[in-house]
Amino acid sequence: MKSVMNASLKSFLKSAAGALLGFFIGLIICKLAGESPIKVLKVLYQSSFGTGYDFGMTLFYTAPLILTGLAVAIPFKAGLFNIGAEGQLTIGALAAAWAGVLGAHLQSPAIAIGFAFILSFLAGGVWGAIPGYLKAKRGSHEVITTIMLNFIAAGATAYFTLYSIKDPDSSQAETIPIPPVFHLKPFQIFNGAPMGELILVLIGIVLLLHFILWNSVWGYELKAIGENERAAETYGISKQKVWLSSMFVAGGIAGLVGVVEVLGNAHRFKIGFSADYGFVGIAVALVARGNILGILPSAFLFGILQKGAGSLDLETDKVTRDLSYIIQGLIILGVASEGIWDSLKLIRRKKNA
Amino acid sequence: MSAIEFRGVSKRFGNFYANRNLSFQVKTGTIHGLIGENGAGKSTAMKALFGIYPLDEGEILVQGKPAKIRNPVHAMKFGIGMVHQHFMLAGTETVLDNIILGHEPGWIWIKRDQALSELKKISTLYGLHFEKWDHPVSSLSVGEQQRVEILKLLYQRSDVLILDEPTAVLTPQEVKELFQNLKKLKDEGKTIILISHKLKEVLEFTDAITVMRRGESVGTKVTAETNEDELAQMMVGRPVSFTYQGERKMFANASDMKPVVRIRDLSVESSTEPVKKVSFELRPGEILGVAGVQGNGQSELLRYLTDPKKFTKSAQGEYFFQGQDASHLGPLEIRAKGMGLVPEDRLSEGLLLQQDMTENFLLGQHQDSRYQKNGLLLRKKATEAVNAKIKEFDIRPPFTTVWSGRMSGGNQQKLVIARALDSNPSVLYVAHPTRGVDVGAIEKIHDAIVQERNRGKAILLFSSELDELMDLCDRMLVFFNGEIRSEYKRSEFDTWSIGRVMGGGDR
Amino acid sequence: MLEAFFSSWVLPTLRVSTPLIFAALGGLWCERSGVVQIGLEGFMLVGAFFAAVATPYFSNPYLGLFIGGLAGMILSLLYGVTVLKLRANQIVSGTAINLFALGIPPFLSKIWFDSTGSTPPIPSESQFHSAPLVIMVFTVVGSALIYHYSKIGMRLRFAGEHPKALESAGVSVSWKRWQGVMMSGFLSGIAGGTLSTYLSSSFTRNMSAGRGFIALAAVILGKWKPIPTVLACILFGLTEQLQIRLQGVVLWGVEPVPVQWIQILPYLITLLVLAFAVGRSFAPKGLGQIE
Repeated sequence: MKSVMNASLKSFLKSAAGALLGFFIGLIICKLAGESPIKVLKVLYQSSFGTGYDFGMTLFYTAPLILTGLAVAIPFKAGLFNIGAEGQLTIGALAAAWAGVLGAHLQSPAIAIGFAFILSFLAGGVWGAIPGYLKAKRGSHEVITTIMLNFIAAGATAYFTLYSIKDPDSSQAETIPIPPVFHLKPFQIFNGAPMGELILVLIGIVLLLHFILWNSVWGYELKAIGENERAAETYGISKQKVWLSSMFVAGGIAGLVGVVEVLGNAHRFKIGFSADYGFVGIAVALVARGNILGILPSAFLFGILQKGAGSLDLETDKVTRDLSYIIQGLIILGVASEGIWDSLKLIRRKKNA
Repeated sequence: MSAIEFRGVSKRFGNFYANRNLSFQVKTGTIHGLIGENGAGKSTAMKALFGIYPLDEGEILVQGKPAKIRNPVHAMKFGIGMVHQHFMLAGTETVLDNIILGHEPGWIWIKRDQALSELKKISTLYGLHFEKWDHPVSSLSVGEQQRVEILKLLYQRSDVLILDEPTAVLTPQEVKELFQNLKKLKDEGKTIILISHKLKEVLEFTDAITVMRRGESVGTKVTAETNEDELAQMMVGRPVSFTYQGERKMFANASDMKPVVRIRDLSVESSTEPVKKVSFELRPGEILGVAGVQGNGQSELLRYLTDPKKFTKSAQGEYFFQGQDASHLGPLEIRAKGMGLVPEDRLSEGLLLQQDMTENFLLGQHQDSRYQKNGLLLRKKATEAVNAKIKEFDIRPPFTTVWSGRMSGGNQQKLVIARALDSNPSVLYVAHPTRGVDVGAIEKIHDAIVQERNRGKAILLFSSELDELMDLCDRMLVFFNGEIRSEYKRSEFDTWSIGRVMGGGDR
Repeated sequence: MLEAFFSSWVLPTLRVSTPLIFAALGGLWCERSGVVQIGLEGFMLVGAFFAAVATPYFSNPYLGLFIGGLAGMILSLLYGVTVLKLRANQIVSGTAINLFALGIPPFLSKIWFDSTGSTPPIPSESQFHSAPLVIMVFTVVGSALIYHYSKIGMRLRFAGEHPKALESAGVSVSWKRWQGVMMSGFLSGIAGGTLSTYLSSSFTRNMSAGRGFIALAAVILGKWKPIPTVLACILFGLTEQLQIRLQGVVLWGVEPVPVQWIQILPYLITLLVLAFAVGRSFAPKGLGQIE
């Protein structure tokens, strides 16, 4: 047991150090661009923790990243790389908005919200299951199919937004607003930042998934296929079933971003609402290193980056929010580069020798 | 003069000596055997020779001169080349390209014509007949691929040819042909080092033999002056017999017993090794061997037997398991009816290398009601069961939290066998149970298999080691080209006869 | 008639296929050497940006295109270091490269032009007419010849097919893979350059729009062989051409087909082709394996 603890602690430290390294290089790039790294750090800190509102907004950015982080991490256990969370969450968000149209007559908030919850999950899940199916049945590489499905999701949701449930009173590309019975209430202390009990529900989802993946037969099958496909198949685990189910669950969880956005914030579906949550989810999952509980701190870290990056546009001269892409890319590279540790060890050994 | 000489070579990994004060000489123009158990240090010695591991102590002499070989390419410059156990050939590329790789004539563009004419010269000079230069390697038989490997060394102008376990995948007849070819090379002045654990062939075909144990040389013998018992004792350090010594219970009415597995007219389509119209029966209390050169349908048969559901489109024929039609069942369903499996390759098919023993033990048993309830795993129970197996099979290290990838081959295999026996199956499909396993574990594994037979289990044993099959089996089926070419009773077992059938000939 | 068909279909199709072909050939060399390459998209984006910046700066589209290629190659060095030296997961690292590349053009355009992610238009006197098409044809022929008949092509193939065989023949596998990675960076950089200087006349935000992935799909569809891969690119180019042609066309009823459906056509067809083409069984055996 002790060795297990040590191993996961070590893995956490490695990943934290890798992320720090990537972040540090990002700051050096700021310096090269002629912007003071200290100022960039200050802006990031102020804009994420400065006030109750800021902190609420940071959590609002964290919430979708928890979901997309899970959407990447779960299939990753089964050996699949889901870079389609962006499309899955778009479909899920449209479904949430549509739930408002279909459930316009509902009176009870619990039923209304539950209905939107289920619809988002199913819609995202089906969208996620498509690449799972194609991989299982046709051997199509999930990285390409999920990317293609992201583009298709963007086009399809745009169509339905503009032609099926467009808000006739709005000049923007957005759907009919959902009835108030669907709205989620934010916490008062956040001074209007759109985040409330939902964040607790999301934490609950993480805990539940952690329990399921470690203790259930399904979680075992995922792990077995992910680690040794051939052995798992030899011993009766169906990779079709695992790939399809894990991608369905992942897509469904990504789809719940629709609840965060539509029920909690905009109260309608707006084309292009996502701040690339699906792609940042990749970074979230990688920094967490496949540890489901690790998704929480990791998503929070990137929530800060997302929230803070928006302020960079306003508060600095040379650096824009796009810096966050560069930093995210560098953090992923830093965390993924296993070999850094070996070369460090080697240097140490040479010094000792 | 010595082509190669090791003088007091030591190679340490931490506190462990893989080679310790190793000294021996290989005379030019001879075939020299290098034998020893798994882990005796043979491959470390060869890696030292090729410069893959730097030496901690001692030196290696080539043609009488001290040679500091830095890497395999450097070794090539000293005229040393190796045919690896797993061939270094790319299946999709042509024979010609595989041979000339790294030594292509021409500057930017390859002059294939020039290479071809040189190769033809070489093959005539050494009497190695070959014609399929422009075929892709994957279309060749294993024996032919080995010849391509040897031609590659000759094309690279190697004088010392090292062959690592060259006969593991050949029929007895092919083995004979190989050694005839090696003899021709010897007559042309080449030196050949043969790494092997098969005493018989080393005794038959070499001029001298060096025996290794625990990283050291136990001695070098002139082949004509030694014998199998002496070599075996030198190898293991105690008198051993390589034939199974345990008790073999006799079942008087074995042939009257109702078969537990019945296969009739089974055909499996496959691009690599189809199975054609195979019929046999497997009875309680017998070990039925499946012999044949790798790639003649045995692997596909085993895959079908464990997972017929996967083959519903590509297989025809009957498969009855415990008297019931099983041709539509998946692995877990057949397992539930009483099947235990030891798969062909434990690393790629049997284990999760980065998981501990408990997780590995659960593989295939994860749906078993003993180890799960309502979809949740009962890990504690599994760990208890593993602890019992660790004692029963003497699995080391004896901790359930060890990753299977960090265990030795023998202990990995014990874990796989323990898992297969855990559900007390009435039928066991066992493939290559002792591949890459050291002598001590081989005895344990053979003992476990025969004990299960004595308890009345039906065992189908796949192996590429003919000696192992002849030792353990009650009956043997010989596969060639996807068919059962012949069946032998224990009283009829004969190496040369079986070998002929394995190569496609008559009994 | 034939001439009209040529100028209205064949030439425009080849035109829009040009970036796909460059990127796909880059992807082919990289994957043939045994390294998975999903970073083509990122190389393209960076190549497109730098070509669009350099062309007006030097008033020379050829030099601009070349600099686009160099930019892609420099980014590919980062990829090479992480996967070949630091053993990062190749798909993960490729994704990181794509994210990273997404941020570079807007980051630099803010500093250089005080804009968020687009470049000033290229003046008409420095624009390409049809030279990239010719360069593309030469690249295709050259690649096919090198693939089959040259030392470098053969050794690269072995690096992906059986790296140990190549190593034991005395050739450094890692160097071959570096070559494959750099080749993919350079050719996809060129691909991006044709996007911004040939198919349009400036860089716009995220202008590669998934073409790097479509190029990779073409490599898979072409079974990792040069000529079939190029043909697959032309097929995808045709769907793109179709997409352009269908905009505003009334196919049934009275309304034109909604533009949203037409725009997803290339992605949908790529998806379908991938689903119905054979799987990865033709991939180089050593693809993605790093010792």
